[in-house]
Amino acid sequence: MQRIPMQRMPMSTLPARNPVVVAARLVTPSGGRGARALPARSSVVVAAALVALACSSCAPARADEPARKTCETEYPRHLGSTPSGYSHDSQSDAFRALQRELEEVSLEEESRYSAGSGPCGSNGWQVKIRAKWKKSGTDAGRPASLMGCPICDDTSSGPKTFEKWRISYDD
Amino acid sequence: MTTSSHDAERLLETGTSQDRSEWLFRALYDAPADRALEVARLAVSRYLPIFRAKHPELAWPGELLADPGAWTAEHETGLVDDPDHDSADTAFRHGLHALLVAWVHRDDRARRTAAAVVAIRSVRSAFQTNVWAADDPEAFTAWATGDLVGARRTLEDNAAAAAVGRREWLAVAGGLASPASWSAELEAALERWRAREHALL
Repeated sequence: MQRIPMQRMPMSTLPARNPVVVAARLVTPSGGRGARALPARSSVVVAAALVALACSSCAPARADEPARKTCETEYPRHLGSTPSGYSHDSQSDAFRALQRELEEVSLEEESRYSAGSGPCGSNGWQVKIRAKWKKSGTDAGRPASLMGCPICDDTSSGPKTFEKWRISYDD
Repeated sequence: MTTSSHDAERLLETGTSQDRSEWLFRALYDAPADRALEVARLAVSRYLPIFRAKHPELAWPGELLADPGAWTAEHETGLVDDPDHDSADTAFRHGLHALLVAWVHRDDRARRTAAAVVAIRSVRSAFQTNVWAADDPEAFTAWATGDLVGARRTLEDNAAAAAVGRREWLAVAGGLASPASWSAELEAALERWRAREHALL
């Protein structure tokens, strides 16, 4: 959120829906005189005091204080939560699960490519799985894909990134 | 029916990839099978010169695209089992596979339409990935290898990829009639497709 240097910004330049303006108007004495009766500087000072009391995290950052890193600032394209069905923690985990389900074929992964669909759009990965019949060694087509998404979670130590995957049966 | 060039432009500016996929689904659902398949075939064929330049020894994609009907008669939806490719060419292969799925299910409107849209979307992704990898190899490699800490510049942030994506989208969607009809059947098919995350049905 953009921080407003309140001591230097004149009241008249603040937008009407700005919380500082709203707060200033709330503390204005009633009785027909309204906010305009107070000198603009007074309103700003009262509002600033209220805002500082009510919201310590809204205080302007000190110049020497590094900006806090978050998923929004560092990884804005990553998803903020795990989408439904994406239960595997890695591509290899999903691959092993698929191999357990398809016992009669041996599987091989192709390169990751952008699926351009799904909950994470083009930032996600799709991996086609090639299959061969174990007995004959002949081609068994591409029975499934692995779909992966990059996720970011804000933690107390900063943004934490991880992958989540699911299996998609194609044929 | 109205021309779609305005819709196509608008979707590029304000729509998500899901919006664009669903618009294409609606536009192709009521089209005759031959028309829908031809739109997908021409879209996928646009990447063929790039694939040929990278793999001059591989002739089969050209043969497939010249006559998907003949290909499916012999191989169904199978592709040639050649060595693994890079991410862009893998997306192209997925587009070829989706085109064949559309062909095989040409009499099933929902499956045909979903596969045609996947084919069109995959080849657009192939174009975009190809220029992204060339323009920002560091970011591309981070994405492709799952280096999430390094993956700060995505395909969507890349100007060259955006320009190519725009060109390919307009080349396909700009020539289609805007979807005008509504039917319970179409909406049901679309809902089924959403549940599959806009993949092959």
